[in-house]
Amino acid sequence: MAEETILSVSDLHIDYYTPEGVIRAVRGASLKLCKGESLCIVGESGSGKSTVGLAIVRALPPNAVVAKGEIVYCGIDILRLSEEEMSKRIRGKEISIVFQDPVAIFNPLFTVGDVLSDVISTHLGIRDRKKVYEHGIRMLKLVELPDPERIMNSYPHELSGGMLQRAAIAVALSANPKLLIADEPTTMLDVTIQAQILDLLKRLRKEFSLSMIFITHNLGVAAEVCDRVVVMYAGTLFEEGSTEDILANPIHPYTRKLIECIPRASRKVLRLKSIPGSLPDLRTHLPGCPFAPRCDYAMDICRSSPPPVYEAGYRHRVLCHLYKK
Amino acid sequence: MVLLDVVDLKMHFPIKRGILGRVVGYVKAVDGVSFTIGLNEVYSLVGESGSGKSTVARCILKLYEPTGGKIVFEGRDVTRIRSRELLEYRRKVQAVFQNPYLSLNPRMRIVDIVAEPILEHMDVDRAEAYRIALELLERVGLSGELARRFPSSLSGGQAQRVAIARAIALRPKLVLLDEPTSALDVSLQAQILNLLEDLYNEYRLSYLLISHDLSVVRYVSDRVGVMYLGKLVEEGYTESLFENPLHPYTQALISSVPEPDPTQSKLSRRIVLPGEPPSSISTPPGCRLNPRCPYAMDKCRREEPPTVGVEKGHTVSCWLYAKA
Repeated sequence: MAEETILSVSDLHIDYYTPEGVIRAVRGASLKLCKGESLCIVGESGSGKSTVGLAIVRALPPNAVVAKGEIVYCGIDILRLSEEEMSKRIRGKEISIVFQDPVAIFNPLFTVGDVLSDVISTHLGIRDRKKVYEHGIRMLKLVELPDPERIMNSYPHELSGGMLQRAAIAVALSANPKLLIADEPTTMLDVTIQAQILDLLKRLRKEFSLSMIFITHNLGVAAEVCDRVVVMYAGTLFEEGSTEDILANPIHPYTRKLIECIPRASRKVLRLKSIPGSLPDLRTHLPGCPFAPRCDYAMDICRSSPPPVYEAGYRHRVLCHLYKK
Repeated sequence: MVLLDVVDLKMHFPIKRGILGRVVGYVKAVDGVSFTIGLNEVYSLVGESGSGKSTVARCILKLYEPTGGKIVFEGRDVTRIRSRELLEYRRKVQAVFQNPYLSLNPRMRIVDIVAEPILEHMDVDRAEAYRIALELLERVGLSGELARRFPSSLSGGQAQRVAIARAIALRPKLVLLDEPTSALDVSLQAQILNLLEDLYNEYRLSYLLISHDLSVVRYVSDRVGVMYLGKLVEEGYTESLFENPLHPYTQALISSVPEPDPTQSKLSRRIVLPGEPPSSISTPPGCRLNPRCPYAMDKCRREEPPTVGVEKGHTVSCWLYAKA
């Protein structure tokens, strides 16, 4: 199939240098995103899912180091660009990001309109202030904010969490990017507001023919918005496939356990399955599979050598010793 | 048998302005809420931020003095009890909160945290209190080696286990669980929910669960009350409420939960409520949902809806179900 790859990440390793030691947050992550696709990175805290997202827009904190690997966006090696090229050509213009906490991206001293106008004039090169303002209003209408003129002049503290997240999405999309990274954009919102934002993102994806990377810990949210899902654990990608494959036919023992753990609002379960133990210490070198200590099927080889890739079907990959021929 | 009876509970917080502290209005966080919890029953209050569910819990824990209404526990009015009676009540009603790091004293060792209420309330010597504390820690799945540590060195799941051990130390009758798993990952959430279920059976506890997570609520509760802007809008047995939600708000709330099962999500139709909840300072007249409700009629904008019983134990406050 001639699907055009928009982003490919290969063998990415990212370390955080902290006073307590070096945390190896991402340990060899590879993924591929085709044009127009939406991919969900699912994982629990400490899985490294947000670190991957930040690395793609080169917004990692100063103590993080990309030890190995490459990120290629439309043929451009993102990790080799200078910071100036990155902020002029890529960040905000080609690839945008929306975070969990919309309050954090807005400077409390500037109005929503200030932030929006700044992005529009920088990235689209529009100098005429009236045109910039009109474009801003258009963006706020697009994210279904009521009374856009008032919102342009509002400070972040004057808006609710749901409204601010809509404004953040307007800012992210104002320079017409091709790839949107959404890092837990609905986690802080109430469920009825979450439903509104998810509907909005689905609609905008179609209208802008956006490619999207959605980072979440909630498999339900993943099922709602994404075509494909990758499951991360302790910095490693365990399973990648279409949303149906992953949710209806999960292969990796961790994915299976993760799905069984979730209580459902739609039906009654008698007893929840749980995963005993907790995440391994990410400062240590893990020679084998990071899930081995908690896995029911762990064999000797799982503790000594890293799991091989098994192709379970069309674009359905699993990293596990169980399926080796 | 009824363990706790909450009758027309009101909690209005005054809004003060200026240097004289003139009262300019009230935040009606809880505005006339009534429900009961039976012996060995799990009752859940669900609702979104600002619905007043945590305020109800704080009133029951006697952290707030309610503005109006009554709280009756084991047949006795406990709304205005003091000193000895209050101490006795506190022994029987315990709580587990969302963030264990904030509810555990960071300068005390784990075992001291669990032993403290035992020493305070029970007639035992130190050695016995510490023996009981270690036994409790073992019961919630923490090894004795952790007992000498401080809360900061525990993971979120472990710290929540300590909070649970402390809550059950005095053999309480009722435990308030205020978003006990909201800060935890799903795999840990399942562990904690299963532990709570085991303790419930073992000690014949009653739980009042406060949560915004409907999936968790469905999994653990016997009965559920749905709150919106300080009012209880619907109440019923868990199956009845989830299978046949009646109030437009409950319908929207249940249909908003993203469903991870691909065979299920195609079937259910999502009801998205427009807008956001208004603040509880200026609640709309009539039914509080009327500005967002797809079925709002003239009557809904004028008069408060009556509470109607629909089937056994299932009540709803909505004009749609009021008999003419």
